[in-house]
Amino acid sequence: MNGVDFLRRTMAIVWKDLLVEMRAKEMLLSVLVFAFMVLVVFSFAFNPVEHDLTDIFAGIMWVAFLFAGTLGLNRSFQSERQNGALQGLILAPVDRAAIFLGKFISNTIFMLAVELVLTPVFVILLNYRFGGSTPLLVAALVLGTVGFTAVGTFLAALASNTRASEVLLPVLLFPLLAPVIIGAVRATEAALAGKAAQAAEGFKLLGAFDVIFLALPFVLFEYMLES
Amino acid sequence: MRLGWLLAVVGVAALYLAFLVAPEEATMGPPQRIFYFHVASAWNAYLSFLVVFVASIMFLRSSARRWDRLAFCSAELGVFFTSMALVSGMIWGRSVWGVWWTWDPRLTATLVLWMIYIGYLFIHTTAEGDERRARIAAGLGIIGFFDVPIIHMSVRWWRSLHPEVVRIGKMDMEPLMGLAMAAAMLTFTAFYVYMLKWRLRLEELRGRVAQLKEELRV
Amino acid sequence: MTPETWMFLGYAAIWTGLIAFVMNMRRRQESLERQIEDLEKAVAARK
Repeated sequence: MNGVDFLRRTMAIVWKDLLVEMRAKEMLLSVLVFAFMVLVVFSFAFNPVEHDLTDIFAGIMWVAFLFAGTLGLNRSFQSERQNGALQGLILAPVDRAAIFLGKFISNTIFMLAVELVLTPVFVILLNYRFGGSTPLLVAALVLGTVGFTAVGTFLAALASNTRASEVLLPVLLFPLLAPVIIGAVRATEAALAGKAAQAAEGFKLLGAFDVIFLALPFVLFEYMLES
Repeated sequence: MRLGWLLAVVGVAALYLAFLVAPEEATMGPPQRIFYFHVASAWNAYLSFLVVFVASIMFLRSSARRWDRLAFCSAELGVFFTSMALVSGMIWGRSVWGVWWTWDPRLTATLVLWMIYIGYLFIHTTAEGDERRARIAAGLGIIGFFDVPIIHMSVRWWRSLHPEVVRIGKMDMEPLMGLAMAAAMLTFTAFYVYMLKWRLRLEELRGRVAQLKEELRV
Repeated sequence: MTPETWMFLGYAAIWTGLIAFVMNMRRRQESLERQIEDLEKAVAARK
């Protein structure tokens, strides 16, 4: 299989996921609502009128995105288990790596869509006075999300084979994600404050993580799904 | 059983060196003597996880079940030794720094490591299907080990942004302290090998039970 | 608490853990060996 075919097949999987999502709208909506809920819970827990939440704004944002994103990741392979759809995918004349890459891309698109909608909402509801740099913020969100979905897609595929996958996925995922959580929150903080040098530090960490954890599942996925 | 005897001799020697031969550390006093076995526990934890990593790769390449058994047994021992290191570290921290826990980079990294491999044990016991479970666990064993250095790096960076509350004072190791350290490391490494052999035999017995049950069912 | 007490506690924690782990393995091994014995007898009786 040559490179062009590989990419075409990957995009076919991405297109399939996007189409399913556009028809059913179940995952995107539930993830959106859940992330919004996390924000509301935060406001109840730490009264935003009395406390200044601007210091931990980046942290709140990422907690909401990561928790909500985990729900979405669970769906991405669980839904394939119905009617033997996953079997169909595995039996299709497609490189397994293409399945991983396709799933990774569609999950990343979903997550970024959620973040695109919710970041302004968070800014408004928490009365955050945005004075930073937008390109830096976008870079922080994209790099953090890629790290999250790269490891998350791989682990979701693994966890979907277990009985209690909904619980198991976050248990496996969050320790492995420790560098992403640290890097993404720091980089976002720096971006919101407009500190380019500090953001660059975070980008370095996130970039290294993203490259390693995209390459590893890409190689390993071949061995993970046996028919 | 020869290894068992060797272990007993080396163990007693290590205790003798740690308690009676090694000089007392000036600022920390007697509790510093936990250090020898605390560091040895942590060393064993990393050794076990390295074995998990190598055995996982070997399993994916060969599909031989014994590699999967080795990886699982080693992961179990690794979690055990990490727990030992955490507990003894906390007791040491309480006596030297006055707090049970501090988010010191090394402590935090060890805690994250502990959680990753508890996840590994989880998935190895709950995944469906023998072959598939082994493959999944191997994937996690490989990915988890790659994460270790990145976690160390990120956690150090994370902490460096906060004021350092406590510092592990730079310890000048005297030669006799080094000797006690080496003896403790040797003892614990031998302990690891000994327990791993035993644990593998246990897994084989379990396999035999499953096989006999299968025979009875037919 | 004196420094010696802390040291004692630390050592007690490490060694209790080790001994508990070994005891647990021994217990499991014995129960498995008993199980194998029973099963082998049952297999022999079947034949």
